[in-house]
Amino acid sequence: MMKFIKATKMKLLVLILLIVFLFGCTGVDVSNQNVSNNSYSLLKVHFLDVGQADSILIQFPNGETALIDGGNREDGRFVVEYIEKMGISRINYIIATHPHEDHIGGLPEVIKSFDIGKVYMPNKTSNTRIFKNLLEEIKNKGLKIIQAKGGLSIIDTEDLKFTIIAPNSEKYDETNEYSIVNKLIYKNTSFIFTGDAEKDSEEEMIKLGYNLKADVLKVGHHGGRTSTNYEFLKRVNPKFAVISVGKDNDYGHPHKEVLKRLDKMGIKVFRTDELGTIIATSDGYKINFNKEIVKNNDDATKNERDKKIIYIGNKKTKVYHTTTCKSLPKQENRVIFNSKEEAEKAGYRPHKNCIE
Amino acid sequence: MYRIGGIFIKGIIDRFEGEYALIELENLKVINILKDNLPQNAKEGDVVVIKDNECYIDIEETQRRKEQIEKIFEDLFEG
Repeated sequence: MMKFIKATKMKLLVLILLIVFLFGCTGVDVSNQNVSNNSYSLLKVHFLDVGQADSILIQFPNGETALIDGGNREDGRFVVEYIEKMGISRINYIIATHPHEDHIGGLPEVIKSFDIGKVYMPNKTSNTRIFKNLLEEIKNKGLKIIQAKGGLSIIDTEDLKFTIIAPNSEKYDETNEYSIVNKLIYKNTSFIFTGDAEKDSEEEMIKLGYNLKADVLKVGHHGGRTSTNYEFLKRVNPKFAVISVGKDNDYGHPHKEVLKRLDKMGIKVFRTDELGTIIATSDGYKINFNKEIVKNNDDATKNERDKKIIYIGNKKTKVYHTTTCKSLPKQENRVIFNSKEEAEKAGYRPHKNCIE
Repeated sequence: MYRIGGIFIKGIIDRFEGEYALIELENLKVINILKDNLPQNAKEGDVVVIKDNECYIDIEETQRRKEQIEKIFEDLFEG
């Protein structure tokens, strides 16, 4: 009998403690929310205007930050200054989706300039100088590279999850397929960032049964036709799509097939070549896109950042040609131009047969 | 590097996009070159030399770079 009473009393005590604890907790929660409403309860995703390249800055509601890719090499300074302007001194997670220059180009400068937490990369190297620079900066900071693999969790709390859902194979034919794909969930809102992942990786993500549903899709490979296939798009079923792409790029990105697929599903498309830097803000329930787009680049720096084709001028005729023209001048009469503008400025005119 | 009066380009193929190869030159600039101007078997990571009308892959330098970079990568990489 005594034992029974003791047990009941004990239960009662636990119950009272539990009630006090719960109420206490709620109180703390509410006041916390009030205090930090402006900064810490919002998720901000910045799709930086780095021309024909990718760079995405994430400010998590817990105060941490991530940078997915760093634009071209020439964008390094711009990316660093943008992050500084946000008052950020530490980047908790660097995601180098895959080792092409239009994704890792600005990262050496970023790593040099900030306090860095962890670096995630796929198991794929490149022979370029920029890739070697990136490795050297990682080494200089005493950092290591964490291998990115589908299923790896970066942030895992009840309200906020940041995970890696690709790559899911050890080897691919195309470097783009090694791209790290991230899913970000904040309460009822979600994002998918695809790097340059193409058809093989998209099919793997579907086959492996990842929950791909997301409100916002960062469209793969600047809108290239071999990414964002219909089956994948159907699973993601986004309300918004963001395309990170350079104005008048030489590759026809975004391809019209992709724009058609997006349009057919009634998805609202935002493009960095039209809007500049795009910022999405989520309070956990609703995602807002900023309308006052930050137009940061004057055209001169922008042109410089875009990739160029070279042209061959004929010193004698003052006509310039593409490198594939059938009527190129003799070796001794050749002069190289980095752009049409450069040729025109030097007083050369386009060759009708090879330049439109 | 450019040389007036003839073409001399040396660089590393960063990637292919559509009909172009993107080449990282020794001055770190990345330029577009039509794929047709490169040897047919050229692939990502190859060190290519375009000299006047000839174009070739420097196999030895390509291999040297690859080994050097993979070594640094392996030391940093936690699989």
